[in-house]
Amino acid sequence: MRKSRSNNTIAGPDGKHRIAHWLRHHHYAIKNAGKALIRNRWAVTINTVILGLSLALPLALLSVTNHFAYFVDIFYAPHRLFIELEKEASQSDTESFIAFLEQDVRVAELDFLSRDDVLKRVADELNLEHNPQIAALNPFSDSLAVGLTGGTYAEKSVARIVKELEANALVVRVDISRSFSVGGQFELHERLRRFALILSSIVLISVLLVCGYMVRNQILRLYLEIEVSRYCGAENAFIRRPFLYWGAAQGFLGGVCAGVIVFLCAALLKYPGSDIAGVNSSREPLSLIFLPELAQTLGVATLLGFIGAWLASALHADLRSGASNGR
Amino acid sequence: MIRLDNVSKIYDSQFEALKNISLEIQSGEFVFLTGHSGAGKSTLLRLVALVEAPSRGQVLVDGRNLVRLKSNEIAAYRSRVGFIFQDHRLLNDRSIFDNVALPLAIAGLRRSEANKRVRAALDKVGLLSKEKLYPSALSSGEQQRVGVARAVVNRPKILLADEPTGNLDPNLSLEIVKLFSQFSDVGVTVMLATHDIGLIQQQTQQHQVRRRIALARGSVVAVG
Repeated sequence: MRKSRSNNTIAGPDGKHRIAHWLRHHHYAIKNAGKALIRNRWAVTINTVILGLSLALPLALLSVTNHFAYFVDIFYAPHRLFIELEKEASQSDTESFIAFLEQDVRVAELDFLSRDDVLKRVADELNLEHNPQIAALNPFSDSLAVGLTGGTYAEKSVARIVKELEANALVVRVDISRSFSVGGQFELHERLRRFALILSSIVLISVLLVCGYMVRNQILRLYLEIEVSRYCGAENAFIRRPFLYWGAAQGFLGGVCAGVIVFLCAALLKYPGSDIAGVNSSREPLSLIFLPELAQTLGVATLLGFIGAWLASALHADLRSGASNGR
Repeated sequence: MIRLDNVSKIYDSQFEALKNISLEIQSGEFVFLTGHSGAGKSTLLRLVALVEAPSRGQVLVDGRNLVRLKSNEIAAYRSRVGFIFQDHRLLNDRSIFDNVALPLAIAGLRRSEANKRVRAALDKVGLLSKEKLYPSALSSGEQQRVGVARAVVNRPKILLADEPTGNLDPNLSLEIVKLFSQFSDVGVTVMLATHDIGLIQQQTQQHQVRRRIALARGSVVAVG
């Protein structure tokens, strides 16, 4: 093989050296892309800020949409539980159970409803007139209405509380009040999700264009280097590679910048957010940034930077082959 | 061996830069391409370098039609061809060493091997002591010698030089041509485009094996 390489004017690298060549080419491309990023640090910084600002809103929206229940819990209303007590429970047992519940940090408010109160409420809900006969046959028992503090938003947390309560000998049944999950909220969530999707699509296309345009400018600026490289036998992949790394790095930096912007916004909104959350006795600190969404944003931004760079280099830096030119 | 069969090159469907050219250049031969500006010398070199494809006819190197090469074969072929430009085309943001090392980076050579070859090439053109400088710090003649080092560092089989002495004084021109002669002596095919008649006459008289191909308005008008 070595002999044929040296004697033949048209021969690529030997098969066994291909991987080593490939690795050295990537090393060269990463080094060149890094140098170019440093050399153009001001342009890179400006583009990073532009990309960061563009990506920050979709990142925040994505976080709000994916963790909607969390935000609802902080700003809207906590869960409520309806606990039906044993009919035979003594007053002292009931009082000690109430005292026990009131000490629980997860309980924001607690109302005792006697069996008569429960019957009255049911009758009111059903618009029934007071009937002494029905009152005498009251099937209900004493109950407790419990409002949980904000922050116990996760279904798992609520389920754990319900399980704990049901394990108590005084408790017959625990109902989770779904009053906060009104249709309007689902609708709002759905609208928010759609809006986030549309806005993200527009912004992500713009990220693609920004990265592509930036790489295009860089290609035009390095036209001489590309031409000389072509004369020296560079393949398309060799010429493209530094630009692809550049684009991916720029996208990644944009994603990081978006994360920082959202983090700063969350920090700025912390106290006003806590004030609003406090209305609902929420103890959960406000957070606008979550690791999965940040990872998604970084991944998508890097990928878009790469695709933008690939498109730009395919359009502007490709080898003019003998087969395609002049015929 | 380089063979051109009835090669024509037409730009923009109007201007015929080369007209029906047929010629053969043997391996290791030193050929001068002469002619006035616009005669087609550079176009001919660009066709052999496979930077452009002929509009008609075929260019064969070692029996392979260059137009039919796949893209990876084009790159492999170009890596075996050294090209020297009249305007040097050095990369100003890279040191002399890095400029000369470019073809070796493209070829994927190990760093230690590349370093050795670059130093050998720079030594050959007498610029080893200036390897850390940038092109802007060199004179035109030195820049041209860097261009030569870059063209030969990957041990090409064919060396194409487009007016390499165009901006140089007679002494420097002679020095550059002597360098090419040394490469030709070790079996490298050299095609040198120039309109420096004095230089050609001096070289063809000194070396009987040198051939001169004269072009005028895209046609071969004399071979000898």
